[in-house]
Amino acid sequence: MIDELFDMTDFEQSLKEHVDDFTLVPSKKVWQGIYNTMHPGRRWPSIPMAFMLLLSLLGITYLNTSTIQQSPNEINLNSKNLSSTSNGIENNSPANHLTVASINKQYTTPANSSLVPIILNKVNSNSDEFQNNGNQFITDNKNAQQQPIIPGQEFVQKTVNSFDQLPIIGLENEMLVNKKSKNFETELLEKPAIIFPVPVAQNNSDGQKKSAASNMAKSIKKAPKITFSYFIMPTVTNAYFTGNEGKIKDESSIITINPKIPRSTRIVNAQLGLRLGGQVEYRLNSKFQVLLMGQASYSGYTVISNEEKLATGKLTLQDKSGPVYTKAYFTSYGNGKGENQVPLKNYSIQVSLPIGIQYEIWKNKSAAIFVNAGAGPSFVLKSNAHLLSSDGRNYVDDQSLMRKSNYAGFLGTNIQFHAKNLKWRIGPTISYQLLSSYEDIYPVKEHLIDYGIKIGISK
Amino acid sequence: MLNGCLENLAIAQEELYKRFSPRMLGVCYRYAKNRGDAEDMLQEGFIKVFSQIHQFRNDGVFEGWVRRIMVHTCINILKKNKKFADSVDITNASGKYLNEYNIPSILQAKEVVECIRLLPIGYRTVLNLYAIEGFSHREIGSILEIEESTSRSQYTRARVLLEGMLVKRKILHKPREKVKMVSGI
Repeated sequence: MIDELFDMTDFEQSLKEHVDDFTLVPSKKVWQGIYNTMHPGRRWPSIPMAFMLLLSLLGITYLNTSTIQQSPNEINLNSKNLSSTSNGIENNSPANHLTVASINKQYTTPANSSLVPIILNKVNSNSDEFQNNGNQFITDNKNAQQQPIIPGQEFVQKTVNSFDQLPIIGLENEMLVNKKSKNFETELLEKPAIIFPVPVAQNNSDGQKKSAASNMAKSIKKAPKITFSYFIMPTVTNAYFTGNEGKIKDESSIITINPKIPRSTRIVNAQLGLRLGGQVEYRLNSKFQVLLMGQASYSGYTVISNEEKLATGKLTLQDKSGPVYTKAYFTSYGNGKGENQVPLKNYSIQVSLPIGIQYEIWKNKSAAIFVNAGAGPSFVLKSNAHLLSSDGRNYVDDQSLMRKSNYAGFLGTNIQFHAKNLKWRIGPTISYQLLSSYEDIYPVKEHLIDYGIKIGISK
Repeated sequence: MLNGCLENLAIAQEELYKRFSPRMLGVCYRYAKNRGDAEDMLQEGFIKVFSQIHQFRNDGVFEGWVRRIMVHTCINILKKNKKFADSVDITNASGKYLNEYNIPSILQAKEVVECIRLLPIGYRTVLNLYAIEGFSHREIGSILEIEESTSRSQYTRARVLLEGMLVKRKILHKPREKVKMVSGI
């Protein structure tokens, strides 16, 4: 038998001795897979975290809901208006009475009234505020304005004959200051009272002093056309490779320069990045806005290489005019398939000026949802490039092959809400680099894709 | 460390993994088609180790127990993926599946392993199990669900191929041929 020609024991013993010395260091993802399987509950809770974020957003929206109707006739109450109002009203004129509107189930702003309803509550006469301020009691205008008007709630009609009898005579540091009348304590009722200053009815002829309504109407605020906002956007960057990975077309024919390097040869890991910037929003109409942004970004990804002996790596390049040539580099980085794996970071710091359009798809009193898209140029301030050699065996470093400028598009959506006197916008955005990171002479095309959550604020 | 693994403590498991994974990956690498497959086998093997660690009876070397689990895991994966289909008869084996020129220049242990990996998967598996892991042909037949005689013939063919490669690389010296005695002379 053929077995008898060989010394079986020695061969197998020798084989076993050689093989037992052989070890390989596994990649980190092996342990991660084992850990996630053995301890599934401790996995980074991406899905629960997403729910938490969504719930937080909804909670913030709900807690900061403003319930006072923002009508086109709304004005801001300030001392200037009040003083001009009081100056324009004659005392003791029956027509200059102030009435408290009764609340119907359907609350409507009374005719000719462009004024904010002021709600007064009874102040505890034993309170420190009342005691310390002597003849005055103070009602917090801010709270008064934000108190909800509940349809159907009973309010008392209160008529005063003059501004002297009007509790509110001006504003000091956002607080409504009034003069206490003798009977005011008893007159201030248990239930909240709404007071509307009513414009003078009989003074309609020319030359008469302007009505309070028209005076106040001057200060009606309209929604601004231009808004400035700032944003921050943590991102995750990944790289997408396309292009002629194997073939380069020469002047006369298609020449296969390199064997086709499958995409799986590259071991690419996404990395965290950051984007900061500001944007100007110009409102075209109630639905559309033009966006002009200025932003700085840091993005990158990691390729897995391995350390090995110094070797020569080559890149096959093609000039614009046609000639194909090879560039050689010294490198001690392998393609990641060997031992002693090391991560190599490819990163880019850029500034960009994208322009876009934003469309409001839904809105209510407290929140709005937008979708936006656009594109624009970007300029690379600093970058580095570890490139896989044309034979797929080594990584070489050549920053001269990186483009200095690029072009990127973005698509995103966000929810807008108010909190702490600021307007917030939060939502996901995807940005795609339209041109390759590399110059055209390098046949491999790399496009960076950034996924991020954009958080913006404006006043 | 073992007690920690019995209590499913991640720190103890990680320590055990770090101690044994390089050698075990070497074991898996001999069965797998490529490094990625080897790491998959390693991952699944260690999951089984941690899941079945309470079955270790302290009646032998722990590393040996882990190694057996790893080998069985490799075999199961190969069987599941039906990787034995590309085993070939020895008359067609020489040169067809052996692309020896792709072996990088590395130390001897690695060269031997790389040569083993060049064998067709059926030959390679039987060689690993018999020559290195120490299973008998009967046991191999049971594991791989083949005849004992098939195991013997597969091993013989594998050994011929492997020896040829190792001799070519001067890792193994070609044994002297035994002289046949002819009667009457």
